[in-house]
Amino acid sequence: MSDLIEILQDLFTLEILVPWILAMIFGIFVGSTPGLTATMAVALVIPLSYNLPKEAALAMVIGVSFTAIFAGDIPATFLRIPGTPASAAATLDAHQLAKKGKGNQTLLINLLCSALGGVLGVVILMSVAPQLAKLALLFSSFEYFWLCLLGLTLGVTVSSGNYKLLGALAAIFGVLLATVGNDVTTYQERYMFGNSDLSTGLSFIPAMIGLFGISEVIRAVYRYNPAGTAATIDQETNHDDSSSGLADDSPFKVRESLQIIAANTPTIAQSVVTGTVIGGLPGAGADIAAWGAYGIAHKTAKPVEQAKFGSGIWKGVIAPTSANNAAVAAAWIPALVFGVPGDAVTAIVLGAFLTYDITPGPELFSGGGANFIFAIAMITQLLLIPAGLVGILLFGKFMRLPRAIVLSCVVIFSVVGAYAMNNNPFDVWIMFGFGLLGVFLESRKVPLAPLILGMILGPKVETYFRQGMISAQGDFSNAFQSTIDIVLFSSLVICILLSFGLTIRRATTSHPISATQ
Amino acid sequence: MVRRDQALWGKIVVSTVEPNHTAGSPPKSNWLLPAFWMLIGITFYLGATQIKTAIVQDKHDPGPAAICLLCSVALILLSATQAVQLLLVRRTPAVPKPTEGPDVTRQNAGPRSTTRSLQQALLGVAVIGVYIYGVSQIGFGLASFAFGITSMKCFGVSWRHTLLATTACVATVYLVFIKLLGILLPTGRWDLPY
Repeated sequence: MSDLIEILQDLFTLEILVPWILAMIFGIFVGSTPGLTATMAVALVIPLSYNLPKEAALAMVIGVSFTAIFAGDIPATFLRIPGTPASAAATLDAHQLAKKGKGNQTLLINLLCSALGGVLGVVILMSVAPQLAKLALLFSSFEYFWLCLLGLTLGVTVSSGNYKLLGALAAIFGVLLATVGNDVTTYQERYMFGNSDLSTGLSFIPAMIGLFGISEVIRAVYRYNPAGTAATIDQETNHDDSSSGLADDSPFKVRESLQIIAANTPTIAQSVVTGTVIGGLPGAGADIAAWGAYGIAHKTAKPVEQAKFGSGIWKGVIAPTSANNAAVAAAWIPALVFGVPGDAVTAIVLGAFLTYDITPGPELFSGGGANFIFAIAMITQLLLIPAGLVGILLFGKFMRLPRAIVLSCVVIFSVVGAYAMNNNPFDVWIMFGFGLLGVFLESRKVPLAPLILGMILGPKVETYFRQGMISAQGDFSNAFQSTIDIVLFSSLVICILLSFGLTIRRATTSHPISATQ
Repeated sequence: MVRRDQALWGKIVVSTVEPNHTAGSPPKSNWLLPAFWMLIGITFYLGATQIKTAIVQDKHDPGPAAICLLCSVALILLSATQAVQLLLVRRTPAVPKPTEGPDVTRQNAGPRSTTRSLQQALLGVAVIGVYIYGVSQIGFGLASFAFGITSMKCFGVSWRHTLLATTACVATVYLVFIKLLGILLPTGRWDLPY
């Protein structure tokens, strides 16, 4: 207890609090800018922290990593552009809710669940870190292969709604798109057509901005009705066509939001556990955790609720957002215990640790250094709420501008975001191409989420499959040898069978046969 | 009984496969999607057959073409499945079209409004395309300024708001990305400062 008081006394000093809060606001800004990822936010903060005390530097990098992940949900809600890949799963329902005039409330729930997920994630990090890290170490290539395949299947079954086949087609297309460029193992050219700009593949961030951002702009232009009137109302979404459409003047509805959160406590609990388990696996990351939690929330929901997933349901927002911040906390488990980074963010932070003279490992726990990190992570979750509210209010003001201005600004920021990743103009064309592709696919009701998921998980599936085959000397039966393999494979099969069963059941119950005879 | 089975199968097919569909009379444009997938699948398959085996490669490594071949074949097979299901749907009794979200294709809108919307969208695509090309030719600042003014005026925004918003947007990008984050944006052929 005295240790805790001592740590808190150390932390609550101006020279730590000021850079800490500034870094969190910076994280909100970077995370909510499409194209700038949480990884980039952390990477940009580290050079700024070099001249500060070790404690302040640690607070800055930990603070920015959590806030950037939450901030990704802000444009995801208002613009349907996930600020970070970890926000892609929340986009589906959050944007639909924003369309119904619940943007601010959605983000408040999002913020509170992020903080709650983060707090619970840190609690789990503190209590079960060594055990989970040991479990993660049991994973070899085939286990990761099955895990990624399971994540992909879950994503397809969940985000495709009634159009499972279209979802599967989109996911396979995504995997194929991810193969463009030099093969990472043998450096053989694949689908490059002599274009050296494609050697590193189709950049994921520009593709995501194009699919979700530019396509939305083009659709908005298609729907736009100047007609000489101030406003037209979209009959189906019931929003004002002259403004950005998702600007939300409604109050945050704090009491109602808290009631919604309380009513969804089991969803939060299962999502935090999902986020922690997936986030604790090296390389899995918050994006897979968010999709996994979304999938599980969908599977465990009542049939009536299941049908509403993707069209704006609170569970669809609460599950991924609780999971992604829990996953960020859990990514610290292998990082702190064994020095194995859980994701790209922790990989960068581990590099920064060396600069701060911090060595991850068992000594960190025995020397009390881990407690200091835990305290920073915990307080960050509390600071996330005011910092997040500032971000929501500022972004909300931006969204209240006339739609024409917002659309133009979105295009300009999308171009900057696509370019800024690699300083390559070719990426901007990739974004444009994916924007057109998104318009075409959505006009045919093809879900875009499986395509993105295919692009994220495709390379991982391929890499782990090939690594597994090499280590098993070409014998694929080795992919079914360990208990983890069998559990993951069984889950995959069950997931596929359940989704088919559910589709058939929905088809037979939603339209009684008698009605058509 | 046969009719009942047919109707059930029709519902399952419609609910799992076919977008924008009214069973019994699927519009010809519905063939666009299976054709698109088929084309993509065949293109990727042909591309996969051109991928060479690496000189230095573990003999147990399935190789760089394996996943490409596997996925392109899957894409071809699934697109064929979709086409077959379209054919099957044609033969089944009509099922009311489920309403899901906004009809972005506006197939129900009148021909005049659809044509106008399409023209708007095509103009929007063209303006964005020219803007992206302009960024590499005349630099980010100038191209963004021109794009902002053009796009906002096209939408009927007043000159005052157009100039204010465009200037604010370009200035924000300059301050945040160039000054704060140190990201270099394209300066164009004339190597303009911004």
